[in-house]
Amino acid sequence: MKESDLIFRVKQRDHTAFKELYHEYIGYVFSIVKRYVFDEREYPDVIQEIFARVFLKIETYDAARGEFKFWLRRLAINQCLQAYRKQQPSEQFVSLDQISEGEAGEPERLTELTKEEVEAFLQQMPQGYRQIFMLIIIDEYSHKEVAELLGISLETSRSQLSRAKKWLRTHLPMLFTITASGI
Amino acid sequence: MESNFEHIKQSFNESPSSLPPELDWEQMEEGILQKMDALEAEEKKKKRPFIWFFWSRSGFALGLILLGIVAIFALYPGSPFRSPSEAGDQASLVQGDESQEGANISEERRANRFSEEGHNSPTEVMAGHPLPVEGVGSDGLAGASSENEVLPSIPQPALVSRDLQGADPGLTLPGIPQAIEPGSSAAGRSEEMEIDIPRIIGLSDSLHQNTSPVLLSAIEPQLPEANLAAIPGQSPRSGGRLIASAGTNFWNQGFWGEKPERNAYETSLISYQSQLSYLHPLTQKWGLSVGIQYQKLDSRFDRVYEIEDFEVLLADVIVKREYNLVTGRVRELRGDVTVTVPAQRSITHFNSTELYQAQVAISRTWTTGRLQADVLVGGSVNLFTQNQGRTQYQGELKFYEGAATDFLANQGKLNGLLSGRITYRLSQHWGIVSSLQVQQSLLNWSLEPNVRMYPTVIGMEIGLSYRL
Repeated sequence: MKESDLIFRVKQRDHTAFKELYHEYIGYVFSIVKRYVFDEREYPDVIQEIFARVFLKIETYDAARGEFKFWLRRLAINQCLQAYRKQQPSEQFVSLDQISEGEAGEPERLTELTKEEVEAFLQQMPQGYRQIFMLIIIDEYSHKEVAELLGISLETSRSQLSRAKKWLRTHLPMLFTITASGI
Repeated sequence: MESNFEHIKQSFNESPSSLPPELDWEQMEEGILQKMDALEAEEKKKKRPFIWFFWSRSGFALGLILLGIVAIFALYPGSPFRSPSEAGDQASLVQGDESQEGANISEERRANRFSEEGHNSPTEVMAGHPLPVEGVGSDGLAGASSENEVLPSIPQPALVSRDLQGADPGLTLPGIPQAIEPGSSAAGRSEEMEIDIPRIIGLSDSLHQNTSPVLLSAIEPQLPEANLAAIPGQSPRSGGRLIASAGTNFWNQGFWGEKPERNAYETSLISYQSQLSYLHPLTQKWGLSVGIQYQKLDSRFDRVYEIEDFEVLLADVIVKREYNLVTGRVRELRGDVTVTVPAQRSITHFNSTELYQAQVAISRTWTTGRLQADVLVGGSVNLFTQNQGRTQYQGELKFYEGAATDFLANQGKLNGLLSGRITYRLSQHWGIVSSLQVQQSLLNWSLEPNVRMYPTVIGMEIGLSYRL
């Protein structure tokens, strides 16, 4: 079935269409949730919230303004960040300076890792700049959008991304060393 | 690096090959439907206050505008809201420099009024008929035969004494002898005339009711408007005042009885307020003030948490050393280590409470020259409120937002009001206002058991007043 037909049926509140849409996009939504929600136990709750909002707000989706996937991604990311904020009432960017940066090496072999390995590797990135890294590098948000979304300054967004990149440079060579040494 | 980012991007944009079983539709359906219901209920709740909020605010603003319009019309000359005699009186006072054409219009108005009152029409007078003398004292106009003889000319206040000097000693205006002492010097009379202009205005009013229209037409256009402006608040019929002001405020949250937990972490801050009010004079000294006021009440929340298990990632540290007993070489294995350290988390947040209020008060006014002091006693009601902030509630850091939170509600609450205001009149209409206001909540804002919250707000404002 065509995506537009499916969306039309969801707009008509067709319950079967809800299920079909869920099956169609759960994988995509799950991959987003994994990027932004750090506690695995929260996944089902956040995903339920996302799909509840999708079904309720789908009338606001306009195909002329972009693909459904992009609309869904925005909604899902917003919801994930909201869930994250609820769990983290304090400042998210406190104390990250304490983390040792180490010597920067040039990461060259990330492309050799599988999808799961990349995910597992990035899971280790500190939360404070992982969100910003994901938003900017993976989901192509601008610094301005990130600043608005997270309620931070443009400067903070830029500096956190720079730290994330530095973290990658530092940890990527180490990843291979550790893997090779069997740790 | 870019190729790495591209690879990461591709990895994340791929759907996972397998999903956890708890994400099956059968497992998730119930939860999704429940959340949909909850969201729909929330939306409805949000929409209802918004519609009410929108319409009630619009209605309130419209009501205020209408009140202002009615007040302006009620006080403006020739207004349909005023009685014909009042309208005529007022018109005569403000038309000091009007042209002959204006004077004719004024006469026409008077003619209408007189015809209503059963007096002779001005046409009869113009045709040379004797002036009607009903209601005029015997020492007044009884001997006059035409309007020119009655009062040849009163072009300016300064000339009044000269003209009166040259006139027949027996020719006087009823009442005016009270202002001009018989037998005093011309200069003295001139001075007295200027000083007692308000009294003359009052007499002019009485003349309207008692004397001929022709006589009035000769006098009224000459009454100087400028002199009226210089004497503020003297007329019992002076117009209402519109006052717009803004300034700073400070509040005390006013906890009585048991203090709530948040009291230890919140400090009141100086903030601001503004208001628009209309003071309608009921008598020369007493008035009724109605208005709307916006108040922002600020406080700062400071909380320092001790965190027992704060995790710090130590990157690239030696996690293991292996000694080769044969060669004696040491092999170091490096990696990341997460250690738990005690830490402090400091939170500072600026909380605010916004109040949109309607006010009603009774005012008492004192006037000295250009200065005018008002004391207002009344009350206000919080029509709309918005509270926003972070605080400590039930042992946890709590975000709150809305007219009502878990621990306080202030919409619809009443306040007592005491205000002192000083106005310095810059011109006939405009003045500078400064005021001090004390507002005490009369109803409890707190929703917590055993906690009572009766905030007090002290505000200082400066603004402009416009006399209608």
